[in-house]
Amino acid sequence: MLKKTLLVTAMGALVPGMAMAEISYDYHHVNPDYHKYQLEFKWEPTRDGGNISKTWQQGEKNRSKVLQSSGGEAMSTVVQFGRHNGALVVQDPSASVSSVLQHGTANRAGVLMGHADGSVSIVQQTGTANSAGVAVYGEDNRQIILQDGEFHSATTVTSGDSNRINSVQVGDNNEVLIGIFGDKNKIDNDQGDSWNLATIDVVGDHNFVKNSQWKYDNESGVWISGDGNYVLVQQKGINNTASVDIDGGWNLVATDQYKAFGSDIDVVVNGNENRIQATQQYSLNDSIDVDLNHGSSYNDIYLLQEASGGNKMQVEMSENNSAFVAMYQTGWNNQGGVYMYGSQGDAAVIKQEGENNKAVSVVY
Amino acid sequence: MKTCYSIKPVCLFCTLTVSVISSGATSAGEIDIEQGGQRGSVLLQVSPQTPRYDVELRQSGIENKLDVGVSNAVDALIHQHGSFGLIDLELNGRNDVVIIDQAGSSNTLVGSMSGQSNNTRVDQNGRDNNIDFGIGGRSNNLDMHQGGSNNTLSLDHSTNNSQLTLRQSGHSNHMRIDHSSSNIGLNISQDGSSGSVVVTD
Repeated sequence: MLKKTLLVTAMGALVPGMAMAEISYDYHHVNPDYHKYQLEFKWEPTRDGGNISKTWQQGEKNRSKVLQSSGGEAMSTVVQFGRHNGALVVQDPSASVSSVLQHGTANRAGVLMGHADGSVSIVQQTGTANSAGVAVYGEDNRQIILQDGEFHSATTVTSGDSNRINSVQVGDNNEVLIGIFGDKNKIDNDQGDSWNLATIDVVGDHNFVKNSQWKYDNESGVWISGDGNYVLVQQKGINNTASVDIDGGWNLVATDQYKAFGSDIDVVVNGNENRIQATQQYSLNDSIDVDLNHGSSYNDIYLLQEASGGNKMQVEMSENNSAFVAMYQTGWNNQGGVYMYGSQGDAAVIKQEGENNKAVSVVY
Repeated sequence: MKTCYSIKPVCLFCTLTVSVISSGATSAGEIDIEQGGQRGSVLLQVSPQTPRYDVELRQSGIENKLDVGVSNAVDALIHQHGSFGLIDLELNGRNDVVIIDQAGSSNTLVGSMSGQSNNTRVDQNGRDNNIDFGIGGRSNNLDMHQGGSNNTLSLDHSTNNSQLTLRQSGHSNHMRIDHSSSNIGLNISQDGSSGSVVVTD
C-alpha cells in the first residue's frame, strides 16, 4: 500500500489540477478464476476531463482494463502483483498519464494512447517473463518502459512527431522492439546485462536513436528509413553484435564497442551523404563490415580498431560515387580491406600500426 | 580530363583524417595506405574504370610486404622504409605511372611491367638490397637507381620502343641485364668500386 500511495502521489504531482472524478479499487486476492475478478472502468465522453483511476490487484490471472476517452488530463494507475495478470489501458485524451506496475511472472501490460498529445505512459515490470506493449499516436508524448528481471519483452510503436521513448531493461534474455513512424522523435534504449536483443525500426526524418547494451552476447539492430537521423549504438562487453541498415540520406551513425571481444558491427547504407563511424577499442577478434549499396554517393565512412588484435574491418561498395573511407587499426594480426567495384571519385585511407597487419584494397 | 583533388590531413579518430574535395566533371579515385610496424602486408589490386586513379602506399618497419598490381591509368607512389621488406609489383595495363622509394637494408623489389606506355621509376637505397625486374610490352620506360653497397640489380628486358635508365652508386654493386628487344635506349651508369655490369643481348 505504501508503494501505491507513493505512486499515486507521484502521478498527481505530474498532472496537477486533476481529480475531477476518481474511482479507486483495491483488490487483494489469489484468484483461481480470472473471469471472476475482472475490473473494468469506462468513462463516457464528457466536457470535463481530469479523470483518475487507480487499480490494485494482487494474485494471479487478474485482469484490469481502463478506457478513458473523454476530456483531457486523464490519469490511470494499475498495480498488479502476482503472475499471469493482465492490464490494458486505452487512453485517448491529451496530456494524460498512465502507469502500469506489475511485479511477478508472466504478466502483460498494454497501453494504447490514441490521438494523444503531450501524454505520458509508464510501464514498469519486475520479475520474470513479463511483456509490455505500448502504442502511441500523437505528438510530444513520452513513453517509459522499465523492466527488471529476465525473459521480459517490450514492444512500443509510436506514430507521430516529437515523441520520446525510454526503454530500460535490467537482466538477461530480454527483448525490446521499438518502432517509430514520424519525425524528430527521441529513442533511448538501455539494456544492462546479457543475451538481450534490441530492435529499433525508424521511418521518418531527424529522429535520434540511442541504444546501449552493457554486457555480453547482446544484439542490436537498427533500421533507418529517412533523412537526417542520428543513431548511436554503444556496446560494452564481449560477443555483441550491432547492425545498422540505412535507407536515406544525411544520416549520422556512430557505433562504439568497448572491450568488445568477438563482437561485430555491420552497417548497410543505401543513400547519399551519410556519415558512418564505427569504433572497436580494446578488442580481440572483432569485425566491422560496411556495405555501400549500388548507386550511393558522397558517403563518409570512418572505422577504428584500437589496441586490438585479430580484428577485421572491411568496406565494400559498388557503383558508388565519391565515397570516402578512412580506416585506422593499431595492434597486431589485424586486417583492413576496401573493395570498390565500378565506383568513381572514391577515396580510401588505410592506416595500420603494429605487427602482422594486413591491408587489402581492390579497385575494379 | 584532368581531375583535381585537394587532400588535407586533419584528424581521424584523433590521429588521422583526410578530407577529399573533388572537382571536375569526371571523377577519379584514390587510395592511401600507411602501415607501420613489422611483418605487415599490403595487397593492392587496382583496375579502375575511371580516367585516372591515385595510389599512395607507405610502409615502414621490418619484414613488411607490399603486393601491388595495377592496370590502366594509375598513378602510384610507393614508399617502403625499413629492412627485410619486399615489394612485388605488377603493371599490365596502359598509361600507368609508378614511383617506388625503397630504403633500408636487405630489401627486395621484384616485379614486371607489361602492357603499353607505362612508366616506372625506382629508387632503392641502403645495403644488401636486391632488384629483380622484367619488362615486356611496348613503349614502357624504366628509370632505376640503386644507392649503397652490396646491392644487386637484375633486369630481363624484352620490350620495344622503350627508354631504360639504370644507375648504381656505391661499392660492391652488381648489375645484370638480359635484353632481347628492338628500338630501345639503354643508359647504364655505375659509380663506385668493386662493381660489375653484365649485359647480354
